[in-house]
Amino acid sequence: MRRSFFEPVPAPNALPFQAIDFTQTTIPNAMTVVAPIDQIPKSQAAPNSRLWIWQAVLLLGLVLYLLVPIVGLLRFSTRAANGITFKYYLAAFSDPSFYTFLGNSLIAGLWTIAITLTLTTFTLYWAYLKARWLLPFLEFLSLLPFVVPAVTLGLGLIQVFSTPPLMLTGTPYLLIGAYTVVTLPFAYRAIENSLQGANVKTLTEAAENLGSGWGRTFIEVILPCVWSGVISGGLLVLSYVLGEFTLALFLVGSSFQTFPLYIQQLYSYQPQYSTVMSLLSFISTWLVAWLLVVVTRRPNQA
Amino acid sequence: MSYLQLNHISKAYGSSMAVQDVNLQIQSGEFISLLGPSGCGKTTILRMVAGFERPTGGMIALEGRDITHISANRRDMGMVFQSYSLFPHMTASQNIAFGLRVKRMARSQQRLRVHEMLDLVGLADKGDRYPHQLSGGQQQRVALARALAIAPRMLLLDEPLSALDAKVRLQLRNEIRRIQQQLGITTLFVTHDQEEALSISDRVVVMSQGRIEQEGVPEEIYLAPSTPFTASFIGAMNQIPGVWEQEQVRVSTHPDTNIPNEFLQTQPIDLANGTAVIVLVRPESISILSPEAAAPPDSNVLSGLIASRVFLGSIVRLSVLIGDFYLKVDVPTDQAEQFQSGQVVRLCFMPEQCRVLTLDPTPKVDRPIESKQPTYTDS
Repeated sequence: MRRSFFEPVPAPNALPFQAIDFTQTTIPNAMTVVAPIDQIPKSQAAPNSRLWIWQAVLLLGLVLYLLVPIVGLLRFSTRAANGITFKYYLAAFSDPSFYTFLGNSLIAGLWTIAITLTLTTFTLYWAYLKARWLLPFLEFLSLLPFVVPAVTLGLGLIQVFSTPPLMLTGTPYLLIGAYTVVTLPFAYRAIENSLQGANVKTLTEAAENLGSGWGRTFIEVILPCVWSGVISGGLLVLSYVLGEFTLALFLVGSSFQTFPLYIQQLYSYQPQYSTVMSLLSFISTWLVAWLLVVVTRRPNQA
Repeated sequence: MSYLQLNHISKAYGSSMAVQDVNLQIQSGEFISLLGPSGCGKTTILRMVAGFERPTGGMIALEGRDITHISANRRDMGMVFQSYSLFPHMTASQNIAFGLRVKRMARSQQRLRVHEMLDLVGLADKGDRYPHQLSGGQQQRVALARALAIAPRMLLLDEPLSALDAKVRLQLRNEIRRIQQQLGITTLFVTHDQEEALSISDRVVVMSQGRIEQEGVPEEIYLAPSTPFTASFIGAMNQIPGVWEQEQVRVSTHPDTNIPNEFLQTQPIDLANGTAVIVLVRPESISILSPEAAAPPDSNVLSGLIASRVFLGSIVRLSVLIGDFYLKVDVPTDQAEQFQSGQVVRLCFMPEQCRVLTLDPTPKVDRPIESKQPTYTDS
């Protein structure tokens, strides 16, 4: 018989290998794992089916919990003395104020997107390239807005920006600045996730090696790689701004009335009209969320 | 004048010296490999040549011009990275055309050049594929085409084959060499794989701990290592410690001092008696004598016990215990069945198959008085 090609010198204290014949081993009271499933007693049946039922019940409960108020809003906004009416919806779309205040929110949102994404993208790109040691500090900074309540932030900003030379209270500039700060975590997380998977340093060096300068490298090479993160971050910022109430109330009030403030004002004298606005606000948020899913589900080319 | 000169190049990261006083001259059209283990400084040197790292000291000159402080995007070098580095949102053609667009080449010329490069690397029908639709080997070919498309003054390759499987690696390294010879482009290739370096390079530079251990043609590096590191790093090498005495090396093969030591004959070398030395001999240079065979005259013969045998495909490597050290001996597989563990054998090798290195703190090359090493002419 041909002997093994490898015959190491045996170690002095090596334990002998003992083969165990599992076919002859019996384990008392153990379940026979190879038995057909219909022979397994019901009490010992796999718990997966019970788990599935509980999951379905919980999910249904959650969906009902979220949907019931919205269904209630829908019913209230279409209630008429003798059935259903859509007159409040028609009135909403023909009211110039609707477009003005929605436009204010959109303006604030778009400016916030521009500032937040520009700051975050460039800072993170630079940190990934030249100063990775800074990343934990940036991550900590990005989480700070979660720690400070909106009321505290609003009052603090009023204190600082109510005296010369920084008289910005009541102006949209202060509101946009505040939105930039509070939406930082959303933009940071979205962009950082994209940068992590993009091998930014090597791509930058490859572009540099081919003669490209910083600008072209960023626009033609890096930005397309993190585009889904930029879009996701932008949509998250926009959805936040469209629904933000506290800071708008404190910082600008009626001087630059945003859509949520408009809804709140309407509710005091036209509740059904206000309900229509709330529903439209929900729908716009769902649209943004759907867009997020579409954008982040694009085939990853990295 | 050399095409590329590295003069007293150093690179420090804090208190750690990644590269220490390296001097290297590369001629036009040469294929030079920087070979060494991880952390030896070879990639750092490549990155300094490319312009991604600034040397702490020294100068880099290309065609006589100091490029030490010129930024990477103005050095006109093509680089292939270890991790492919293709732009994932661009097709293969678009990747190759990127550098041409930066140079503001006309669109029609760009198309021609891209087709030419795709043909060169054998991917003429893959131009419209994205990197994630290409295999690892294909991606590296595209990366190579992209680096060559801009007609660089020098080609830099940073372990381009390390992420590929063995078969593709073998294929691609031959392709790289073929393309380099066809274009005549000066190339600096970084690798930790000695087979790669020895098989495709005009010259190999062996590095360790930020310094050059030895540089030379592949045959010289393999057959005549001049430092203990090179000897142990390149191929398998037996290292027999001994003491130089009376024109030969006294080797203690038996722990029991009552038994006489063995003496090994080597090539004549000018050393003082009592100098501690290492005798180097390759496993394939040692033959096993049959019990009745007479040893060739002037050969070295040592007796030992086969401690282990390892199957390596075409050869079986025997580990033979001689006194208090082991010698590795390579035997063709079809002849190895007769040699089993526990067997006593006689090993034989000729003096000219040995190299002797001293054990000075600063090892230097000990050339024999009458060198019988083959001479190599520059290509």
